[in-house]
Amino acid sequence: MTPMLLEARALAVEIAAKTVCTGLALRVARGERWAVLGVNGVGKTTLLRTLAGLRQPHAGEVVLDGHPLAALTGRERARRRGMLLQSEHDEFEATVIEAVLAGRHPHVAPWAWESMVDVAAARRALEQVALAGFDGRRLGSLSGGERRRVSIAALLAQDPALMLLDEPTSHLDLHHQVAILDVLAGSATPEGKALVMSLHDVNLAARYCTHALLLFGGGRTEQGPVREVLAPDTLSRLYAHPVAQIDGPHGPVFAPG
Amino acid sequence: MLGTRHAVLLAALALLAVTSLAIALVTGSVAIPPLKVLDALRAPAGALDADIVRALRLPRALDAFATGGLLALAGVLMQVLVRNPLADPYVLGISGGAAVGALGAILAGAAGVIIPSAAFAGAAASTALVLALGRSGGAWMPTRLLLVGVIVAAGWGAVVTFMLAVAPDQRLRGMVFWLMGDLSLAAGGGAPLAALAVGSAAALVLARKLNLLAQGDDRAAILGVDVAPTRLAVLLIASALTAAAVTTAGTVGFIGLVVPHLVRLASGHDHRVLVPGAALAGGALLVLADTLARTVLAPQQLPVGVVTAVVGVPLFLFLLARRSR
Repeated sequence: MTPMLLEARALAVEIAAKTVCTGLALRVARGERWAVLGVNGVGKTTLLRTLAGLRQPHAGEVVLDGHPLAALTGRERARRRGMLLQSEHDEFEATVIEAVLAGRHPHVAPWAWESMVDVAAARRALEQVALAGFDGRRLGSLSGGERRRVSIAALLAQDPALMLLDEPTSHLDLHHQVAILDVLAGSATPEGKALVMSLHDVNLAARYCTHALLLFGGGRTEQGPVREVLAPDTLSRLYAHPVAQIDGPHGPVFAPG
Repeated sequence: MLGTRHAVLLAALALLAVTSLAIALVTGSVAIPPLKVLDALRAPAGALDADIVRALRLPRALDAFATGGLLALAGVLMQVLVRNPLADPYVLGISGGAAVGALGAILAGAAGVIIPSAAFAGAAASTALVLALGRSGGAWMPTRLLLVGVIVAAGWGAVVTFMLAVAPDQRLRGMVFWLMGDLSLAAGGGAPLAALAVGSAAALVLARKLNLLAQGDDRAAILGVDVAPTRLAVLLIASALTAAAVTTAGTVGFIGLVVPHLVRLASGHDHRVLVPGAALAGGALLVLADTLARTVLAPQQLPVGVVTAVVGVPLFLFLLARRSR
């Protein structure tokens, strides 16, 4: 039996004396698309960073493709999991292609230069986010949404099995939200990738995700398939605001009351 | 692989480096034609031309080249370390520590090799101080490093001012020259060149990790870089390079700030090209600046730091204006 792509075992995450989760058991298989939902400041980013190995859990462990994160080298992790950060801070005026090619780092041998295969992968990733031909543009000259899509292209070029995405739709207009999520969701096949993404828009979660993990604060969580977890009463509790359900063209639509 | 554009750039910079050394060898208060200089390099010791070229001009030119290369390379590394393209090799206060060591030695009447040794001890002490104070959460993070560097530099600055205030007149000139950066006491022993070679090799080994660190610690960690040990290595290498440079020539300004920018304009942000490019360009520029410094008011010699500042300040303002556009 192939191991789960991502497993959190008895995971406890705390930040600044705040409990994000305790004893969390999470099992993510290839092909699954998970939404992490919760109010501002509940710890969605902190949880994603812990799953990515960017910070240590308070207790428990994260297992990636059958290997505890702690037992993998940085390079081995980078070939298995990638993460889209919530924001980037560009201090140097790098170009778009330089930023996307950086995603190939874990695939390029330590003493080698990027090959034509890597350049082709970077160009293909830029096409996927509708930025073909932007190669030579300076990052500083891009709009917020274009810069966001460059980061997503770098993640696609990195080509990890597990993609952790911190608010992938931020800065994107309606069209690009749908277009980018179509690309990402399309890559999550039973033999392909899995996605775990924090989202602010419940409706995008309902449309694009197979599972949801809800963070209620104080360490309380609920999880399951979206059609079970995403219900008006649960969401009303999650956001401490009444939520109503309406039938839409792609399934249920949730509206604030 | 190395692109054609980058190969051409590095070849051009290597040619510039050789040319700058040639200019330094044929220029001086005693006119020696280029062909005679070639003869002098091969002639037995004792001939006047041979002594001037081999004992005076060549060691000074090689020290200038090494110092310029060290400063430019240290600038590249410091800019990545504090994630600020406006950082220079002195941003962590290393020059202040070196200055206190060197000026203290001059003040005490020391001469010769004691002055650079004291400068190196001061630089090492300052680095140790920044390492101890700049650590937060298990790593040396950009903002804290910058703050600690600024404060440590201010502290050294006060000590330097005190030393200048109490110094007897006959020692002041030497102290001011050291502070501005001066190659007239350069010994040409080959140690600075060796430091440049070792430092360049170490930086090249880290070059791809530098590319990722420049994008931010989280990006680097996601792409497989072990951030904390890598940052420590960069900090130690940059500090050692800076210490070697100030030990050789005092605190020459602007090379470490301007050269990385100039090379980036031509090379882009790939440190596999930027590291050797900055070392070559920094070396060549300081050789040319020092040649100017010892000839423009000959027989009067200027500290080379005056020349680098006169050229560097407008150049830097131009680059800054370009950047904000």
